[in-house]
Amino acid sequence: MFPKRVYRPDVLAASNRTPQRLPRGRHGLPRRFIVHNQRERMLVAVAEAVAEQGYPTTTVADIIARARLSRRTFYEHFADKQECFLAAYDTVVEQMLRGIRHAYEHGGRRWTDRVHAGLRAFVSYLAAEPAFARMCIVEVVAAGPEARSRRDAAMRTFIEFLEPGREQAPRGVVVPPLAGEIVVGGIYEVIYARLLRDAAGDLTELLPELLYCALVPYVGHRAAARAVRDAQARDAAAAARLAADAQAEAPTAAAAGRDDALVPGEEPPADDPPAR
Amino acid sequence: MGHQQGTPSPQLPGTRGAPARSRRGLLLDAVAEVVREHGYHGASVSRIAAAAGVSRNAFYEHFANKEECFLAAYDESVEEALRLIRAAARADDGWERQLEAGVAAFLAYAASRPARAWLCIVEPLAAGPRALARRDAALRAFAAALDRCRDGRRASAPSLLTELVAGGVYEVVYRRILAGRAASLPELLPAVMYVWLAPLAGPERAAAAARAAARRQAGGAAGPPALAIAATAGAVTEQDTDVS
Repeated sequence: MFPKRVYRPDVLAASNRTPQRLPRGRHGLPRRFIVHNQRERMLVAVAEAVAEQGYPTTTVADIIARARLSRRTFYEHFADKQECFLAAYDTVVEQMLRGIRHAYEHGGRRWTDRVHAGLRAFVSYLAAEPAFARMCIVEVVAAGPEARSRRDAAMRTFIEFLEPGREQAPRGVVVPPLAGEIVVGGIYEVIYARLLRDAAGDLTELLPELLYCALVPYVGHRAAARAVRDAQARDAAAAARLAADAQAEAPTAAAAGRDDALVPGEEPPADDPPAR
Repeated sequence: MGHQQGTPSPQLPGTRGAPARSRRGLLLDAVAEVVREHGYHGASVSRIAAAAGVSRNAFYEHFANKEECFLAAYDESVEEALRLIRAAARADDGWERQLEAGVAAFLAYAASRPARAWLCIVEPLAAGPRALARRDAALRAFAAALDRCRDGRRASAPSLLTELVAGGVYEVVYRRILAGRAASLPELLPAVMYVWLAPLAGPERAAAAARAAARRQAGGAAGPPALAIAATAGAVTEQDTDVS
């Protein structure tokens, strides 16, 4: 199946320099989220608080208690809860989108491969960072009009990734421009439903089906199913290579990190869409 | 409150002698208007009662609190929409035309009742867990309805497809309503047709069906059911027995 954490997001920088993950709670943030200053402490705090208790009931008091900062310090940086939330949202989404864009642009020659790479980066990020996922996908819709318009902008970026698919359609077929919006909206909804159930960890397992759904309006059933199979085979091969390399280089580290890199014993889903 | 009980409820236009909207009905209309203007959190019982032209006490005769009133309006709207969608889909033959008629009815309903559409599509996200559960149920019902329009095709497609298309249509509708463009919702019909049909029947046939749907819409021959819905949706609460 898929490497569980193919794309390691570079959250607030310095993440790659911290090789080990420390234990964390359901909605806890990874310790890699290196906090440089008071402002960033508050961004972490608002993300955690909102993920745990929801945007509407989160107060400035909750944020400063988590950040262990004074109310006065909070107001030196932000006018109110919303401003703090938006700053955290922007920081996280910018880094997430940078990672997705990078994966998409280097995802291969074929558009279907690029979509796969971008989608994989997206779901890997969300699965690895449940608190951020909750903030960017779930809480953002409850955080007022400004937050909703930021969400809208992020979705437009995703729609752009699908736009080249319109040229992949069979001759004579004009894919409605709205198709991309429906697909991206649908991906958001599917993820939203999983996050509401606290099932962020399952997101990577959805990747093959999400990929199929993203491609099929443009290339049709057979080509979409074929692209999914190819993508799965490539991911499995890459994961095996990674595991072998790690074992060869540092046997102990590889043993320790194995269940981090792979979902052990998992087979490709049986409902892999056949070509016909 | 006594004096208010004596006041006759205002007759809504288009009721043609049907009984005037009850005080409860007025409150349901009012909550939709108020949450659209102030959001769920800014909507107070006082505001809802004032918009309905009744006292706070009268409000509490019908609903325990704002949430109950909101959910009642939600349920009433969804029932109304479902009735129209079923009636439209029944009237047409063949799974593709049923899909077209049903989706057209849904879009026409949302376009003609923007406050109700706002309440059902936008506001549940901010109105607490019970509203969210209803939204989830509505999405599932929509997905199930889509699944009935597939003629047994493409059973091998991932099960996520239905959920994703239903969610995607919901999302696109949400974004239009949020942007104050509810009136433009019927324009979504061809794209919805295309996205659902492309995996099931292939892009070529999907494109043809989308073109045909657009033609019927533009020609005003959007199918008698869809037209009738567009015309009556505004007054449907007052004469709902005619539709079902």
